[in-house]
Amino acid sequence: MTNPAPRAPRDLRVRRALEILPATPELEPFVELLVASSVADPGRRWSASGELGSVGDRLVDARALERGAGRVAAEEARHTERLLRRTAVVVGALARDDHDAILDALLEQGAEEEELGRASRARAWYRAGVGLAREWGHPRTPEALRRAARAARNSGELEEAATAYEEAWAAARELGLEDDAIIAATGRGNVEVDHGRWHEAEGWYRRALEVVGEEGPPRRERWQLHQNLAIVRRRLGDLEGARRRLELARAEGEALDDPDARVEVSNGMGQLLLAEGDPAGAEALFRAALEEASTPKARVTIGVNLGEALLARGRDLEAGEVAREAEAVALARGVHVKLPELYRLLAAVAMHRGEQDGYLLLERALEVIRARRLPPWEEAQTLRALARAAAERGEDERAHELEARAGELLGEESITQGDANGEGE
Amino acid sequence: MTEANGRVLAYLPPDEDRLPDDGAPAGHGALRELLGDRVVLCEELGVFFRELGRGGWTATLLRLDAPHVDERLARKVAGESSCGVLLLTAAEAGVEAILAAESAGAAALLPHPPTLELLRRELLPLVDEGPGRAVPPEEADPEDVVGTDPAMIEVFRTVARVASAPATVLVTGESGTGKELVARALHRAGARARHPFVAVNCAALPDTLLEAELFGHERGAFTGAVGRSEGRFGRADRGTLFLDEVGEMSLPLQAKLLRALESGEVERLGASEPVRVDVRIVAATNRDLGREVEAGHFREDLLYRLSVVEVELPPLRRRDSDLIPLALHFTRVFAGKHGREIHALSPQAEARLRRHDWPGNVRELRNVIDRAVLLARGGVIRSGDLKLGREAPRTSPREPSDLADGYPPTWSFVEVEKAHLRAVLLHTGGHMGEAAEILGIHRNTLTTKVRDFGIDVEMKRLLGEAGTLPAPGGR
Repeated sequence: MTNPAPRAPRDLRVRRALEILPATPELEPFVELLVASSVADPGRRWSASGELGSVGDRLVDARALERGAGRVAAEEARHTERLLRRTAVVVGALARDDHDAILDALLEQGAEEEELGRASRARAWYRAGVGLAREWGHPRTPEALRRAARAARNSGELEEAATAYEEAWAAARELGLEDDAIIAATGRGNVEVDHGRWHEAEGWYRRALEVVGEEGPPRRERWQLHQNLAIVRRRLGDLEGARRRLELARAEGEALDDPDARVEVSNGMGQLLLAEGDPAGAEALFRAALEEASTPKARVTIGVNLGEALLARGRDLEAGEVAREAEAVALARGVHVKLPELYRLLAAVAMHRGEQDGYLLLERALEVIRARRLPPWEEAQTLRALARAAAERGEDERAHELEARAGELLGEESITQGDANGEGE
Repeated sequence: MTEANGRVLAYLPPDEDRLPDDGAPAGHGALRELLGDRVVLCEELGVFFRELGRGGWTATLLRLDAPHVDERLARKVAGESSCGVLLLTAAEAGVEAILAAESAGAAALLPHPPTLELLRRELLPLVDEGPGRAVPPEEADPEDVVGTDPAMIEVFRTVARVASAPATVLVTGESGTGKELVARALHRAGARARHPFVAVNCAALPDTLLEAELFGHERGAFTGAVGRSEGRFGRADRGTLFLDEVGEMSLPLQAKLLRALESGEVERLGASEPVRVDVRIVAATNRDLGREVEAGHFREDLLYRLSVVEVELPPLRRRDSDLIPLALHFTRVFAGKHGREIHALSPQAEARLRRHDWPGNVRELRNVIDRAVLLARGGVIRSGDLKLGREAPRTSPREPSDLADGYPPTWSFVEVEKAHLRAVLLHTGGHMGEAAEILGIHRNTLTTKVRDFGIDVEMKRLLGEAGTLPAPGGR
């Protein structure tokens, strides 16, 4: 063999860059920027591997990184300044024994970390708040607990989240704090959704709804709970029950005059039609919802659903295009929680188009799930899709093992239809 | 293809200030001289629409700045299946007219009155093409390699010659040219046809996974190794293993592949003994592997091993005679897949396909037709259904080349801005939307600047004299 002399550089891919960078907390914002500013590889646009590409295959845009690094550094500096100022407030308030001021500062800091998508840091601040609030028997204890629970859930610490939500629920009920109780029970239901335990989720949502009341002046919480109950009914295969809940959600949303509620109801109705075997009707609803969707998460969620409807209609080309558009939004706007579902859709599209390596996208979905500590329900869904693909390739032993792993992650009652979406807070 | 009748309908009414004894309206003489009785010349709009309704026109020429004619009417005419290719004329081919022509989906905007020379260049080729192509009945399998272009005939000859030989084949060509189809054809035509054809895309897998995929692994050989896998080599035993995008493989893995090719044995990850395999290798790449060797990205000895026989697939833009037959082939395939009745490709659609550069080759054409079949109405695919985006401009003979060297240091900002606007508009063939996108400014701002700088007049002169302004294919 010839001994290769100095090698000309090739394009740097996200996967390679992430392998090289040390996994230190200071670099987290930079890594987010690196992913958000990455671009699809134009050289692979028309190659077979282009269809199988995931976030790791995108190209690093070094110029965008250089441009963005200064901005990110400035944002980090401002964030650090606020953090230190609030910490000073906490210490000062401790000296004065001003409990309210201390909790204000701790919970505010947690909220800021959450807004930046740093759930584990938020969790630390909230936990500090929980410890002191409990010690003082402070009325904000349920609030601190439910916030800590949410941060734990978003960090992938589901057991901790479940415990904290239950404690928040109990404390709120004891103190008669309705709003905290509703949010705690809804959040507890969401944790069950993460496990694919639909009956348990439904139980918690119903408890929350009892506190809100089935009737009364319009409330966003009531709308959200109807919406969540529709999701669990659909997952349990009770499409009629899901439809009834969605109608209630629609009525509540109209009374609230909330455009976001309208979008979510349309999306839910579309999912229902898809489950009923009417992908054309579903497509129309998803398209209408997508027109009105204002948040990146809504656009990605509906984009995935639209892609599924198109695929169900045999329109794999459009399904793939819609999914890639959603992927671009998800990466640029940090909606990573939807990436596994997106890659499952893209895998299905690729396999529908006769690409026998389409299942590789499912492997990519698993990587994202593990790296981001996404819920077991997502992992189980992906493992099951992988099992089906392995069975199609004649790898029966592997298919059985994958299926068994999925089963371990979920309880016996898990249903393999639909997607995870149960945010209620 | 349906019979070509080459008939043209023209609505080029006289100017309003024309006197009764001024003779025929401008443009009529040139059209008559060029086409004789194959052109029907209308002076009244009612007559024009009556004739349009009769159908079977290969091309329609419409004066955009005539009384009662506007962009909306032009769009209506273009939407008529009987219209054929729509060409517009206008005395003032300024920005507004350019935008109107784009919006109407016209194939070209010609200066009015059109000269004989211009008509000969722009209209005659369309007339000679006929009114449209009928989709032929089933001929080839959807997965067959389709083509009659001499370059493809040479490919087929090579495939036939080497299919039964054990030799390793390297298929080269740009992305989307159909390298896997050729590999499958080699497999089907050879002695291993009854055994598996297994493909692996070397670019789609990270290195660690690619090794396990290729050579297989024992249970628990690495984290995530669920069950035992015989690998692609094992699955392809006695058949063909297709290594797509082999140029993307890392150097360490290239060494392992070379060892497997030389020894006829593969080592599963976690296994203690190598396994003998009998596999014919067909590899493919869109890279110039010779250059990759020079750059140190690819092993020369592996290249030597893989390219015992080399088959080079031509890009679609060099397969002139295959483009439309392929489009019709895919039309039939996707009409069947989507349950749609599509019986023809309109002349405008055909012209639009011919003007496209096909960077994605056959894969791109396949996608374009897949989408067009879903969008088509009335059983005919029209140019607007192709959604090909904006066209690359036709090269203007007057395109300035001095800009490549930069601007003189004595120029003011205004001069630089004007020159740059002019260059971008020439680059986009006068397409305002695309130019605005490149410049990063709003389209209205661009329109204002173009007027302020008097570039609209200049554009008319440059692009009008160069021939035509291209119309966008998909809006």
